[in-house]
Amino acid sequence: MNRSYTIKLTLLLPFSILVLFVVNISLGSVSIPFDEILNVLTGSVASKNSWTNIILNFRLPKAITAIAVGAALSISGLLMQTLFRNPLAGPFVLGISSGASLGVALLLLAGISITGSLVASGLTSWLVVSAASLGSALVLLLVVVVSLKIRDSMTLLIIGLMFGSLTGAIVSILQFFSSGEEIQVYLFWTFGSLGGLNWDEITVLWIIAGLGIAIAFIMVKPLNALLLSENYAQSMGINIKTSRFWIIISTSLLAGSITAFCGPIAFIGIAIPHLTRLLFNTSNHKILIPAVAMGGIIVMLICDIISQLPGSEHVLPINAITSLFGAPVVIWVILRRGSIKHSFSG
Amino acid sequence: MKLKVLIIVFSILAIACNHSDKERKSKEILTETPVNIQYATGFRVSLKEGYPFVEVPRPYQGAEEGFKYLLVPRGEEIPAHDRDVQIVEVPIKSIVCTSTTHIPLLDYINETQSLTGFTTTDYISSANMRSRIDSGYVTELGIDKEMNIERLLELDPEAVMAYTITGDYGQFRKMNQAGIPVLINAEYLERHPLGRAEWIKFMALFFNKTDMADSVFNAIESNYNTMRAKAAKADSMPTLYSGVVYGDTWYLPGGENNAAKLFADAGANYLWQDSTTGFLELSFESVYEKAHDADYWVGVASYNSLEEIKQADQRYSRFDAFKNGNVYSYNARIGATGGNEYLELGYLRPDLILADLIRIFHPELLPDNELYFYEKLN
Repeated sequence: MNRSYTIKLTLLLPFSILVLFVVNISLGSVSIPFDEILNVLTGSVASKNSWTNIILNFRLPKAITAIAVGAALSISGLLMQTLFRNPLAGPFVLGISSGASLGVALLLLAGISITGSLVASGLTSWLVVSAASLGSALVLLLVVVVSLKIRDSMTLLIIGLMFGSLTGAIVSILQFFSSGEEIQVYLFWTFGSLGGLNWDEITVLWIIAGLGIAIAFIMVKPLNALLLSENYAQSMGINIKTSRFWIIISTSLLAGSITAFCGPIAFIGIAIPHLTRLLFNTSNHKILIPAVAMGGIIVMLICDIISQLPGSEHVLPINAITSLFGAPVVIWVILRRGSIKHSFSG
Repeated sequence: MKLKVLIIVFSILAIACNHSDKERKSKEILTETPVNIQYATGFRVSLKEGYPFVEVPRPYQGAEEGFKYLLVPRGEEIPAHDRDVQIVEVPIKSIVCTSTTHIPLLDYINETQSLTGFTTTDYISSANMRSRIDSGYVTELGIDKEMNIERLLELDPEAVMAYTITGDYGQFRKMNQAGIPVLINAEYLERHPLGRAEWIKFMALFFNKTDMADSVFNAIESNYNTMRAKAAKADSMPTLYSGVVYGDTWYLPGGENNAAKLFADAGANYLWQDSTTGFLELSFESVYEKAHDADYWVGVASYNSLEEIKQADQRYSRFDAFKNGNVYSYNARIGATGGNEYLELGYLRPDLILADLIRIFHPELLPDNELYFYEKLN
């Protein structure tokens, strides 16, 4: 491994994460003195009981969730960009988020009229999580079945996009027939949220995302080979269909779990791999996977700090912030497409 | 209050007169406006050519132009009027409503039977109205904002009572083109709880039942004021917060909201009483910082138990009010088909809401009252 990579990977990025993690926990609507924050983080209590609570039970779970979101979404974005050799692919190209949206919409918009009293926020978050997981699992099952039948990854990409359109249309129809309040609840889910998770949920989120990350690491060799071409990969003795299957499984575990718990969080998955490739100037997944994960964590921590509008009593939806950050990056990527292609062909 | 409706009938009918069209030239002329408005600011009534002229100057928040209605007694000649004035021949005999809050207004002036159509009838809880619906007298008109216009035209009601939160009047225009006046009910913008209740007078104008609406309103007002006077004697001022989180934002009533007025009148200290907006959108931790040791949490949307609240977001369980079980929802009365009665009858009966709140904050003041709309969560 090149020495400059080692420094960036083992010093620069981890150090930034540590600093941002502390900053993230220090800032919020309620101003808490920094020494109080350190007291709480080192195991003692703050001078006000409510501060201890805010730090340990509000900000800490939120920051840990942000870390999971950043790592999982950017790795899954990287996997999809490599699999499809397309710089505009992201974690949701195969319809994961639209499948999850469909599940949640069926629960929030259509479920209510069936069960009557399930209205609005009376739902427990586990119900929403299950609906989102089932929805994305269903769409993915279809995609995986298709992926086993066809040879060409581009065809798979188109089919994934079509599934997205289909589910989008069903969600539109459901919205049309729903009351304002129901649509509002659904809409809030699409805004994304990092804050509401309890420790049980965070544990489940990390276990699933961890599994996805582990699979991604195992797939480093096929991923590197796929960047060149599917034929080349085959000539190196890599089974394309098996590799594709596991890459899709890893992506769905990563993007699916995040979407289920936090809503469809935009752009991180598309933008971070590009930023990281530019920083590292490599297409070796052995470096890219950890680098992309850390880059994603850094950006999510920053986005979360911004969305909290420190010092004000208001918050902005996290999805708006990630898009505000991500959209210019994608535009820039398109404008510099030549150099992106370069990094795709190693 | 002197609210005599003074009707002077000029009759040029002669017994011996033959039945020509000229008979119909008789004219009922009013010399005094038929209603006296005390709290509501959303509608006003004056006289034009001797007929009641009703204006709703602000149909939605930020509206610049209002709606105008000239109420012409049935059979009278329609006077010349501006193009933007809708003519309503009164008393109307049939009406289509679009919000459950309109239903009690009909029930309380004995016009339940005038409702011929509604959007999503399942939301209606009123027992009287439900039996009419179940007998098939009320046509289902589909979804509120996209009402089934063809079915409406076939039904041909004499008026539609609607509300709007934007200036998108597309459907209203279609109704007007078909000759159906659209009565805009903007009760939801009233700041005083009794102002919302007073919209019963608006409904009554179109049925020529303003006297009845007056007596209903006076009873509600006097009940409300009696309750408020009781609460004013309380020794303590418990603190409270309200609302829940959607997404990452906590939505709660602002100081200008009539919920804040109700809390104050019930002898409680709503922690955002002094804010100057109708609604607040705050971060979770800023609500927590201010309200973590508050005595009560009143108005938790549709949660039905403490466990459900904790399941939805563990942070809720950190509040003292949650730990002490002082959490109240307004879901005590759910109608036969799932509608929430608080959201239907509550606008007209702030006195019942106030009694509930006093019962919550100062149970010693109303020892015999049971909670009506509210319930304590377990």
